[in-house]
Amino acid sequence: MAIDTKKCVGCSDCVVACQTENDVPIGHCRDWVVEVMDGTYPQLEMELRSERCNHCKNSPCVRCCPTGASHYSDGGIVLVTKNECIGCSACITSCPYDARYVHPDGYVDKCTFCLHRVKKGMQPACVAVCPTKCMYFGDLDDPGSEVSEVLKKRKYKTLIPEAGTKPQLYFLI
Amino acid sequence: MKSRRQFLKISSLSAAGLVFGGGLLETFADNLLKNNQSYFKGPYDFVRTPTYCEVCFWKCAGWVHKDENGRIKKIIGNDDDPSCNGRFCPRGTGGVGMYFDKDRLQTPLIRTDERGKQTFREATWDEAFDYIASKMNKIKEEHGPECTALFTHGSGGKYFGNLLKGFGSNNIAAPSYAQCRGPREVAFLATFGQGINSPENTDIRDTKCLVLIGSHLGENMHNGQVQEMSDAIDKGTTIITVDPRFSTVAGKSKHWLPIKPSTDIALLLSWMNVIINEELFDKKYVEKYTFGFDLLKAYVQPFTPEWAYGITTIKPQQIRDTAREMAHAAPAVIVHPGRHVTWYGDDTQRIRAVAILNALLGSWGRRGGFYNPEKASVPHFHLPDFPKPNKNWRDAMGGKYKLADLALASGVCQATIPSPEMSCSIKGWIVNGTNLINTLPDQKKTIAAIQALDLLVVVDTMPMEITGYADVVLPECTYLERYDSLRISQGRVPSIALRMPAVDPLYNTKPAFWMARELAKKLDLLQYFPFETLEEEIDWELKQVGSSLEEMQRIGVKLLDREADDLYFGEDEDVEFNTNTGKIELYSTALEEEGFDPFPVFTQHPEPSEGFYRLIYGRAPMHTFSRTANNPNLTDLMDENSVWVNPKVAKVWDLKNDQYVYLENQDGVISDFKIKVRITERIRWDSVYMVHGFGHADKRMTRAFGKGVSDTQMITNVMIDPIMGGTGMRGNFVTFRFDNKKAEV
Repeated sequence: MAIDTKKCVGCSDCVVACQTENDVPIGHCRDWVVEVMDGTYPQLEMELRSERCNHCKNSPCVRCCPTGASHYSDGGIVLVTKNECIGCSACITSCPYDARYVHPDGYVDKCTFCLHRVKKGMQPACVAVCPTKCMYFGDLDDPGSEVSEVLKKRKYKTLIPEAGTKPQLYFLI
Repeated sequence: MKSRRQFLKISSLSAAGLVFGGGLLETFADNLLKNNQSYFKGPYDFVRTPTYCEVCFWKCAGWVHKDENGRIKKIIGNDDDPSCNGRFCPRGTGGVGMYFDKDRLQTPLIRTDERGKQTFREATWDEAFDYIASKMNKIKEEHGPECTALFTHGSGGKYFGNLLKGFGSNNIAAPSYAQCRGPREVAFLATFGQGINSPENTDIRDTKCLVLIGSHLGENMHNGQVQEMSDAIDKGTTIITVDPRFSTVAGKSKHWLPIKPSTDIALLLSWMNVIINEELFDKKYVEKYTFGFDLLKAYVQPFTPEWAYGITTIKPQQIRDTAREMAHAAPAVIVHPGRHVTWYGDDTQRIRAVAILNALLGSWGRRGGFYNPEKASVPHFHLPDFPKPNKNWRDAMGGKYKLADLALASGVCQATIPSPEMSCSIKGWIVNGTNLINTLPDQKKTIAAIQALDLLVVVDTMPMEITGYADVVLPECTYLERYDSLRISQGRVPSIALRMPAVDPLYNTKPAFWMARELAKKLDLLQYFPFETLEEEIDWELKQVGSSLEEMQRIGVKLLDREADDLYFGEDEDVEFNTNTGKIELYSTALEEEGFDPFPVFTQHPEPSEGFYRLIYGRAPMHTFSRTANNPNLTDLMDENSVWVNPKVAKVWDLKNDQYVYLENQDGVISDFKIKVRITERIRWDSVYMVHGFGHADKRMTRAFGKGVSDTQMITNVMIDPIMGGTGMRGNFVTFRFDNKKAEV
């Protein structure tokens, strides 16, 4: 997934759309918005980012999960199998992005890239709802996909690359 | 930087136990949609039902999806709707929270004690209507039917409007005029003979340069505009933002002009000076279409960028650069007229300056500027003529504000407060979907007017402050539980949209149409409600345009053909403008006739005294005014406002981030509640900023009560626009207090 920080207005529509799509209980979230400010008035810069699980290729959460509940699914999407999760929270501690939370029902929950929608050929809920169309979702292995195209054209960064997790969320800057 | 931990910390304060059943739902609806456009068994058995949103005035059309248990799950935009293009904003997506909010009004209430105290008894609908009808008839006998008024914001206004007009009054006002966009309409009418209306006819999609003056697109989520702005960013459009605050869009602008508040007219005049003197204006357009250019040229000569620098603090070079940038993009340039423009009382003149600038750049009627919108035309069933009122709120204005093209909510309020000079003293109000306590500035005045009433009826879904003053509270069901009249929208392509109930109303709540019609029965006014149900009326209307209720239930939105001329003026096309001279009036003869300046004049406005800061307020993308402050989904995103303070100011006051303080304004009004301090470089040192709509004082709104400060409470100095009566609200100054005890004198 690629997210265009130049277009994001930080409205949090992605957050509420995810909550209603995925029955995320109020008070929790699978995605969130970050505002970063730099400079002093009036020389200022701001970056707005819609963040979520980075679906890392080298995921510490998958590695540290004692039951195998955290795993890689189709296309590298990192998922948690609810009924295999014992809620030990080791994955929450290991995640440098703080992308997971404990669901009130006792298991750890996180972004699934809306796999249930993707399987039907739909976009994840956050991507589909975004009024600024600042998110691009698709197959990074397919050089012709929209997300691959946009990454060829634009400058981008990943978050905390030094953690070595090989994050798969790309922020266009 | 806002981290996830902070987000969770904030949101956990409002953690109400609203958990949808089940885990991940492979939605039944989605499956069906893939195979089939829609599916239905009976009136309420749609898997998805069409609606248009009622969380704000943009009214995006969408689909309400239900899960297999028939419970509302989510609301998604309708792909065919030009207002949203299938994408709802956060408020629309969170609209489900309006339905699930457990604090909703549940049953009719009749007051048992004095106004302002929350002492009600539950009543039957019949009792409530009898009470209202007898009071209305009494007002009619004693004072005349004209002494009633309707305040409205939302769909129910039409039905109560017909009721009131049938009763014999035309005092029908929406705070969205005199407290919001009124000056803009009057200014554009005076210049181009045409208002801006809603959605705005700004051609942002194709613009090369977008100039925003205090307008914070992206924080005000006017959906279609935000979407087009984003498309424009993709295409490399230049954005110029004028704002004392580093707004979200300022962060996306090539030029941010951090102007000293209240000096915008000086900047606009100096831009005209540069554009005229450097001959950057559209000569052919100005010559062909405009009136008064030579007079304007002479008028703006003193207003050099150097003159404006001393007033606005914007450097002359920056003024020249931005003027040239606009001219370079012309005619694909938009100097945006804004929406909430009631700031300093000279607002019509400020927006006139905006309009003149657009005329000089030749952007009106041009691609990338302003297009010619077209309203969808749907015939309405012919009603018998309404009785002609002998008087209305205008009689209490002493001949002022003649150029106001709609009723002033503040004018109706003024006409309610008894005074010896006044010929129309209003005695009864119906308030539909607008929380006047937090909508009209100068709360003391609003409450004084309310205390002078014989009858106050409030129709709402939530126990807003205004309901506390009501004699009768009528609980309306939410937009997800009712039919409403068709949404008939203007735009590049005119469109209509249907709202129908996705579920039955919860509790003992009812649609406004039903309430108004039942009242009409009691008042013997049924001739103004010829259809027993709204479905019949909508079906009749739809059949006039070749559609039907059945079709609209399936498609939700229908685009109608444009009948009028093209979106843009043709090459050398002769255009007649609806002004006195038939031209675009740079020099306004209409304003001159009424004794006002034909060109905008810069006047110095009062500045904060030592230790005080100008109160600037605005919007957050996840809330609509005060009406969403209790919505469980939206409070989860933001449950209180904060006061933005420049670090220099914070140092002087020794303020810390996240500390709570009270505010006191220039008139000694101390806020009821505390507000969190946000220390940020994003605000000037002479101002503070907060999001409007918080600081609710009604305990029945459990999530919103006492959260943050109500900017409206701090707005006691109201600067009235002499041209159209708009209520300028940016002339208030606040200081910090660490307790809310009145200082000893």
